[in-house]
Amino acid sequence: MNSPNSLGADPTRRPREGGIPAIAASIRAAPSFGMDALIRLEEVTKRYDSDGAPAVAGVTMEVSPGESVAVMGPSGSGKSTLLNLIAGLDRPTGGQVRVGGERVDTLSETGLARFRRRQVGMIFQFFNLLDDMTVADNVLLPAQLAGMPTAQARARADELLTALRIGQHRNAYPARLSGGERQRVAIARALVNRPPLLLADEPTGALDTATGEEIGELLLDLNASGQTLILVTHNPDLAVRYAARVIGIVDGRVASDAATGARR
Amino acid sequence: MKAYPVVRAARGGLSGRCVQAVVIGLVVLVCTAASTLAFGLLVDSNAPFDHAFAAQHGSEVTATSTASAARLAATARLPGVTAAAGPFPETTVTATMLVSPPPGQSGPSLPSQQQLTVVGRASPGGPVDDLTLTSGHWATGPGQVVLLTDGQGAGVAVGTQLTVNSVPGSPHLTVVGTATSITHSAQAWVVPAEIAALRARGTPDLAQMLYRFASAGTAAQVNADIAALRAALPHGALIGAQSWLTVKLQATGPIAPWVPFIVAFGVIGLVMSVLIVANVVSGAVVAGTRRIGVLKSLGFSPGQVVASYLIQVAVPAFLGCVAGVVAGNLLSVPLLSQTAQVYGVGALAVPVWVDVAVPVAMLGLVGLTALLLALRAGRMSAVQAIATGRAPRPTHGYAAHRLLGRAHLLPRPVTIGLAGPFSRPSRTVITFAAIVFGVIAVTFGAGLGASLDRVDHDLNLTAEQVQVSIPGSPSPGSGVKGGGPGPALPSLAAQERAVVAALRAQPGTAHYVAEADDDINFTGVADHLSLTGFGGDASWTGYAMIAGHWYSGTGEADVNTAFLSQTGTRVGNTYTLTSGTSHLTVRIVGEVFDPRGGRPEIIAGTSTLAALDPGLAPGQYDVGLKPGTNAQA
Repeated sequence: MNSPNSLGADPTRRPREGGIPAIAASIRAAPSFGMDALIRLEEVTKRYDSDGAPAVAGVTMEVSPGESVAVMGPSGSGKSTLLNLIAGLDRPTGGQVRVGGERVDTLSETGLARFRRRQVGMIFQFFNLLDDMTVADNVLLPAQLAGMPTAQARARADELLTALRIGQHRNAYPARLSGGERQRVAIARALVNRPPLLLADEPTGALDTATGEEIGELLLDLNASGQTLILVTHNPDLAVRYAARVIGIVDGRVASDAATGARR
Repeated sequence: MKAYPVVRAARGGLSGRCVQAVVIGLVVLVCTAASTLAFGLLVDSNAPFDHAFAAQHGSEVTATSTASAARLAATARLPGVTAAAGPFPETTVTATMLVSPPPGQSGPSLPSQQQLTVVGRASPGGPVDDLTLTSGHWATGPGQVVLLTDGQGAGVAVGTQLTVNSVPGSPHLTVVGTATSITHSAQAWVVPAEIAALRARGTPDLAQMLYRFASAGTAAQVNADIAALRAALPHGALIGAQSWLTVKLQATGPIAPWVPFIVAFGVIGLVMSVLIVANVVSGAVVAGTRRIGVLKSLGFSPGQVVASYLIQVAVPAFLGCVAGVVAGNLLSVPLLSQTAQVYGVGALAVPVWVDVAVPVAMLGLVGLTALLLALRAGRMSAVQAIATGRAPRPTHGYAAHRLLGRAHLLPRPVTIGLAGPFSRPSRTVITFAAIVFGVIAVTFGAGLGASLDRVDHDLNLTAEQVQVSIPGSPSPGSGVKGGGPGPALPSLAAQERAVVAALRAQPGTAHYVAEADDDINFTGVADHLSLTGFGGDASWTGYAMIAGHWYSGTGEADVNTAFLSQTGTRVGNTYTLTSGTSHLTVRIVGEVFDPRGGRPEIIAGTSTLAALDPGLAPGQYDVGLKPGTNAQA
């Protein structure tokens, strides 16, 4: 296992000029849990069929606060499953998943819901926005779920939408937006509760190259502001460019774990 | 649980799936309206009778017997008898009186000759059949009579004179009051001593006993009670025993034919509504499974997901319930007004408890259906929800796809479509069931209406059949014998000869038969008996037989279902009818289908029926036409 320290966040790094200048102010630094690792997986296994091969097989890894980690591997390697287990969207069939010191794998459904509200922001390849709600309502919904006062939630949503350059679309419905704009809405939604952990599953997979790069830069800036980021991708170039550490997954197992030369 | 995000998500779901919401609302509306109507009719068709029956301590069995007063009085102490009244002397008279037209209709009072069952009672009250005086006072001496009123205002006014024609001297009776009897135990009451003067020579001494029993809620229980009475009296002494259930059936008759159909439609609507709601809600859940996954990934708990989907279904269902109750009440107005007229109780409305219970039950039903499906969706992991939102569950329908894929005669798009339902078997089953019930409802509604119309048409006038009336002949039930005002007509016999000659002269005539109709009272049954006598072979006239066969000789008769139920007889039985001093013993050889209702009817040769009703005379000729003959010509 690679040492997280060598891949740790550089607190002196500032967001790129001319990129998304205001985003840094909206990012909350990952809180300290009184321990080194924000995420700790121990011998985590996930099987979908009792007699089939495991999607994730005995994975052990740690992620420190502020790290940017790319989980990379071919299709079907188990990288998305691994991300879902960390996010509490799915349950492992073996091993332990700890996030912020909390055993995610033993939480009840309601406990998992509470965990996702507070600890995790999730970005999906196909955005997964609620088409029957406006952009603003999509962003507001997790804040309302978390109990944030309405005025504060609106201010936070406006702040994020402006920072992500989609403020003008706040009353539009997602179906009217481009792919890149939708992904920005998804990022705003993921960040509205200032989660310690941002998980992105193929966030550029449904976007054209230019828009994908733009989103990649945005994620990079978020991480530069102290946001812990785990990025799932099958694209080695993307992994190297936008993450400081790359974990390679093959057949559900960790095949490699190395630092990259990505700027911080 | 934080409510606002749940409501917001439900609102988004509603606005995003307007068609589903409208379908749920409409289904619930129709079902609620049908159920409100059905329950309202059921309750209101029974409640007034039940209320009056309880208030008057209605007679559960009204027995007419030739047994002695002492033997009859002893039956009051039989096991199971909880109350009894009588014996009261009874007789049947033929009386002429002036009958005023019903309220709202103008015109002079007309003379009417009627058969009346007269009972001698010293007072209207008693432990059984506690009569309600509606006008005047009770008979206190000779020459006074109290008449049964139907509560609709038509009839004979207090002070009217009745002339009793059935006894020598044609004594007069003065109407001193009118009363209601929920079980119609008699049509007139006099003081007991008066009965002897009204009884025609040669008629048996009849007496009436009124009973209430510990168990008389069903036909079987009432029959057992009557059997016990029969056993306690000398053989053949029990002439007639009328069940309160029969009277109730007659009282609720005008609305009764509708109720089973409306209830059936209500039940079908209820089942369909459950299936359609289940289908629509499951469709909404399946279509929204990905959305559920997204909501869960954002931090919605299973309870919040369930609540969101319940609200999404409950809002249109609630609106449908409210609109359905209003629609059900509006639809019930014309039907309940008929019931109100029957009982003379003013206006009837759907009871408040029905207006509350039906929508509550409907909402509960919809809510339960939605809850079960939403619980399933709420229990899914977010990943599973997002994944299954895009595709059916793995392995479902694989075999069907494989098998149909080998059917090379069919185009591949067709086989894919045919295998599709197997991928989601539960929804397919629900959809199939909903379609089956829909077909049942349509078939039931269309087929029943068409069948009854056809039967009614066939019974009244087939394509090759016409009726030719004889002017001046007695009209059934009018009681008025002979012609009314107007120019003098030839004698009936002369007219019959003329009609027969005319019919024979017509080339299109295939058959003809003289038909005589009348209504008479007969002992032991509250309702009038309709007599239909034919003066020749009438087997071609088109009566549909339920059982047995068409009568073929003197002493044989066909009857309708109401006759069998009210007299407790069956096809094959021999039954003696007594009307005043006339008796007729017939063998019942067939049961005819009579779509017109509950009045007992007997059909036989005129010569057979003449023993019971000597005045029975042909009123019309039924004419069967040869094919291709124009009936209008």
